[in-house]
Amino acid sequence: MAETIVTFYTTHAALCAEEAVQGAGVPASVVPTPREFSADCTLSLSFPSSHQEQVRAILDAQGIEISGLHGPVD
Amino acid sequence: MTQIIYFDNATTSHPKPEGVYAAVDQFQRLIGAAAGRSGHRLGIAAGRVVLETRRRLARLFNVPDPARVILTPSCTEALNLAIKGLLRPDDHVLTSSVEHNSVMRPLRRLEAEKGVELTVVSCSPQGWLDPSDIQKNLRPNTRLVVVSHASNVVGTIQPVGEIGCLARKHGARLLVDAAQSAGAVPIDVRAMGIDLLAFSGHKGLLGPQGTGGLVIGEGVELDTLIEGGTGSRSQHEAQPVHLPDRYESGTLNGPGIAGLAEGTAYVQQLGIQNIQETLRTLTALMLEELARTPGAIVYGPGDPARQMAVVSFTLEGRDIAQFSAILDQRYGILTRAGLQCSPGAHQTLGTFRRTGGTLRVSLGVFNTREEVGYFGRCLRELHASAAGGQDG
Repeated sequence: MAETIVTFYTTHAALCAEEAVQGAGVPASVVPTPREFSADCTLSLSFPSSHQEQVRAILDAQGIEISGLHGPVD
Repeated sequence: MTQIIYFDNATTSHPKPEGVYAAVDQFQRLIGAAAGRSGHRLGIAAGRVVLETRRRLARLFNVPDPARVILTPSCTEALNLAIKGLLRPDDHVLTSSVEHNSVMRPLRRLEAEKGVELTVVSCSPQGWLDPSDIQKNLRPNTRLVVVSHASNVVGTIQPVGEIGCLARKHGARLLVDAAQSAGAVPIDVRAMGIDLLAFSGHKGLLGPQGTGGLVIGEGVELDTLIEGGTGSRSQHEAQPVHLPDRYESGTLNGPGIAGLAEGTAYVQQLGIQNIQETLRTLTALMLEELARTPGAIVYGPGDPARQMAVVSFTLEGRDIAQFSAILDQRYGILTRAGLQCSPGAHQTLGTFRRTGGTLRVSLGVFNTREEVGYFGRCLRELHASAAGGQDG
């Protein structure tokens, strides 16, 4: 299944993002950041790519800053 | 173990709620990992505990963004971060004459070594800071006003909201030292115009020692005090700019923060208004007991509505340190005698030279009326039995 990975500047942001996105019913979870995308922060958010725009909107609405978005990745 | 009566909550609160002890133990046993470092399940669990703590504190102080609640090992470190992070050479800073050394020592150092101009505004003998005296002393280059919300010596609660208004109009920042007030009186950083709020985790918030924090208001830029590893932007050797990481280098006190989360929850469950009422009742009883003690001189407002549950007194002809020791040894009543790290306060009260400070009783949510009544009886018994004698 194609996944999207969102990267953050802080663990705080990653955990807030996970809660916000899960709260909206998206099956997302924090994962160790794949090194090919960023060495910025240890944790990234991973979720099915079909939810990409929804997740972007949620994070925007919550004011959660991201450092990158990479998807779809297998 | 003999029963003790702990009247030293202004130093640190004791006991803690049962949930605080359990949270510290559980964090160490079941989580154990460091927050914000490894990406494994325990590291993530630790991160969640820290996030929840920030959220609870943000709710308590009405802070819109929990990332602006920076966690520090102590209120002292939070004050140092705020003071040294904000002030530059040729800046002017105002403070009061009843501040704790955690405010005065960093300010005095900046004054002596970094070209910062410092004005110490005199308080009344009861410890009041008159906002019009702040107004009079504002200068074009005044950058910061630093004031304790409540005196740790006499408990006087300062008109922080009014002072915040004056500072804001002048374009200066307000730093409030809430070491004594957090968890015991309502604090709303937005309503009170507080740009920087330094708080202790181990007093009114009922958390373990080794915890505290600084709320940094929107738009307030602070230089860092400490740089180091943050578990973020690790490919760069420059300190990250994003909050909270920017001001939290080094491993956080995970067990302490877990305890602080529970302490804060306990305070919120009891309700600040209830806590305030309870402590006012105990303060009123304490003041009555002292009023009935011949030779006791009480300092401060002497009014539960205008002070914390912190009462300082001296006894005519008695050495307060010796008296405090006997209260401990003979009656198991624990108090604090001396200058309480606030030489300025004692200068203001007139107790610096004359008595070498005061005997301070400071009450917390776990103290009872019975304890205060017993204290009064012991005080009078001790003072009467020693009248005219040296043995005290």
